[in-house]
Amino acid sequence: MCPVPWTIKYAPKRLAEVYGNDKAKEELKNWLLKGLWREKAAFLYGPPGVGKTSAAICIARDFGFFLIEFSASESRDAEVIRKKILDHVHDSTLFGKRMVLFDDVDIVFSKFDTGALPAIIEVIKSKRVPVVLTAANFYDPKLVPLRRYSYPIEFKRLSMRDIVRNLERICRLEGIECDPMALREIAKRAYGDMRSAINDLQFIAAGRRKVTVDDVKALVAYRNRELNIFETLGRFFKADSIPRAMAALTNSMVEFDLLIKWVNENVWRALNDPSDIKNVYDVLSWADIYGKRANATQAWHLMKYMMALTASVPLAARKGLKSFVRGMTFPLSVKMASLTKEKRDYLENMCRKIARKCHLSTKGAMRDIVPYLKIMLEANPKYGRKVARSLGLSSEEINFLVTGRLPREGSRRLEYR
Amino acid sequence: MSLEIWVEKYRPKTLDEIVDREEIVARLKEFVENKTMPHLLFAGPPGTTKTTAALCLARDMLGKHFSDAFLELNASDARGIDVVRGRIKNFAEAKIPSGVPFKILVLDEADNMTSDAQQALRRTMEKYTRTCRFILICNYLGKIIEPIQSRCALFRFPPMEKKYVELMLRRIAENENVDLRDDGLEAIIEVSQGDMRKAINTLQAVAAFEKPITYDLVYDVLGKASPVEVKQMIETAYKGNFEEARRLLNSLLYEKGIAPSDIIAEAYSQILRMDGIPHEDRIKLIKALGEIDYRLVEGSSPDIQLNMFLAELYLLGRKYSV
Repeated sequence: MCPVPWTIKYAPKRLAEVYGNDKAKEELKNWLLKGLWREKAAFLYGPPGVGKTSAAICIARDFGFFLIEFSASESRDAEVIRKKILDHVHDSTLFGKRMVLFDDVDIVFSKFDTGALPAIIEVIKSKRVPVVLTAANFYDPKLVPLRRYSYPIEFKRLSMRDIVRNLERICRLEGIECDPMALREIAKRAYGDMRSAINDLQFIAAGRRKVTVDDVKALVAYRNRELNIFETLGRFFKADSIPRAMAALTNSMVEFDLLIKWVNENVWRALNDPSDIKNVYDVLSWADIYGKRANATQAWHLMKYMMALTASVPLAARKGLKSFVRGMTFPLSVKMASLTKEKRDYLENMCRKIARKCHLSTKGAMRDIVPYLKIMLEANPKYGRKVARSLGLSSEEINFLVTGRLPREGSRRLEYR
Repeated sequence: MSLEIWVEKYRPKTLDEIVDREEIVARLKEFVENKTMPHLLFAGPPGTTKTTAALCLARDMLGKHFSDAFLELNASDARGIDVVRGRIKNFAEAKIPSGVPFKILVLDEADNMTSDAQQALRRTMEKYTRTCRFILICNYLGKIIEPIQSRCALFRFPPMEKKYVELMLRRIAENENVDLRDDGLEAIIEVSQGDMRKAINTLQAVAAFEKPITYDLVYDVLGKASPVEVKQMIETAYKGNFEEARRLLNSLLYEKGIAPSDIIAEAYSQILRMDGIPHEDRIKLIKALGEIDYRLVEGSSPDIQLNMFLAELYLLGRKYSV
């Protein structure tokens, strides 16, 4: 017999039964009751197993909405969405109130279901039904188009206490005798994830009436949890000592080099005071210097100064940093380096041609000829093209100067032949 | 197809066509008459006829054998020691074609060579001096090692005098049927600051609009060229919008693909000129720029270091508005 998963058997029925995240639950209620839903979708985000989907299901039930659910496991083709919702929306009054849940929106868009995003936005803009979205991360670049139609509500990892309380309740209902220390151990290893804690409990308790700490230690492995970048930076900004800041950085799965770039890209968002901004960037720039010095000289003991200086960033701000910052973005230097490398190579190749004709270096052509050529092309396309062609540029290259877009793969291959 | 870019179309082909630089040209002509010359070193800021003078001298000296006995290299693109040991040495040691006294090698932007490469070059210059004469061109004399300086006759090219820029621009305007008004001419001379290349490029870009060239049009058009965004970035940070200044910086670095060193160079010349910033702040900013420039030479990350520059600007500007 296949037992019912306890995560389903003991799933909360009402919003009040959802453990933890009181502030988020309150925001969600406000969003529904105060009519905010007419403007924006509720975007519930946070790590797995903290009650995002449960909260959505419960609030629908609490207030008598019929929930139309789209989960990652089914197709979210634009057509399906329109059919399933927009048709229903019109007879909303006939069949009672409806609410729409798009679960794990971030997972879906990575694969197929193209066109789903516009369809979801269409549903939100129709203002006929409340829409709830869930995802791991509000700042996922894939979801940028959704942001302005979303009201973000953050769900945080649950406290040990909340998890232990729920595990105790389940043990009681299942008639299992459980060592409190064992439950604490399970909760500790779950790291704020209720679902994995319940799954672990069920797994250990299978065929036993009693659960001990030793059972837990023997049977439950620590899950390999990546502290994602947002949590890392959140902890980092909150740190009140260098060792704490260092711990926040080193416990992350994100590489240190990349972390510095994240800090560089986003730390100013957590600051208000100009002299704090100056101090913070000063410290960060010194960290960068020591990283480079260690690399250049192979004197690796210098790396510790880079680490310590990076860890000093939150303390360099005398007025402190905001611990939570909205709108953090991926470091452009990393993103653009890969994104535009192709463009830069293309431009450089073009400048090499110009350089030969104008007795300049490649860089010189980029600096002294290209900007003026662009102006000519814009002001007077026919004339500009004539000048550009006389410099040996192909029409694809001229188009690149005008539009900034690379020629499509196929046509570029042709040019090489 | 003949070149439609005016800096090339109107580049003098012989020493006789060079109207300014009288003293330099006179001495170069003596070399041609006597069919001899030492190694030469031309130093001066951009757009001051250095390359043109080198090309004209070589052409006049070599006559119809020009293409066999002349090589032009740009050290910014070929700066390593392997180029000196390879292409330069191969050219220098090859036999002199009949009919010319020696071959001529022009090495432009020689100050961008590594000092190792310069050391190697010094020996090559000595060893093959009978078969090959070098004309080295640089912006900063200080970046040329002393042993090379001492082996060359040095010619300094100061910024172009206004009257010659004016002469050239008027000549081109007439030839191209461009309606160049006096105040437009004034504006171009103002922005080009003695850089002939910049002056001619500006004229051509503005002329593309096919309107009478006036003072306002020149500045309007130049607003579209990228260095202006550096100025905008500085002003934005100084006036207290850090976020927008960062956006401009990112756009310069990652969308326009401007080299960090060019951003710093432009920021430097802007800060010298910008009236809105009090002197004591300018001094701090110049120090900050110098430090950042040095750090970049050391290999630091441009994005982090330039953010720090913006933070400095932001802080200095804010003390007035609060």
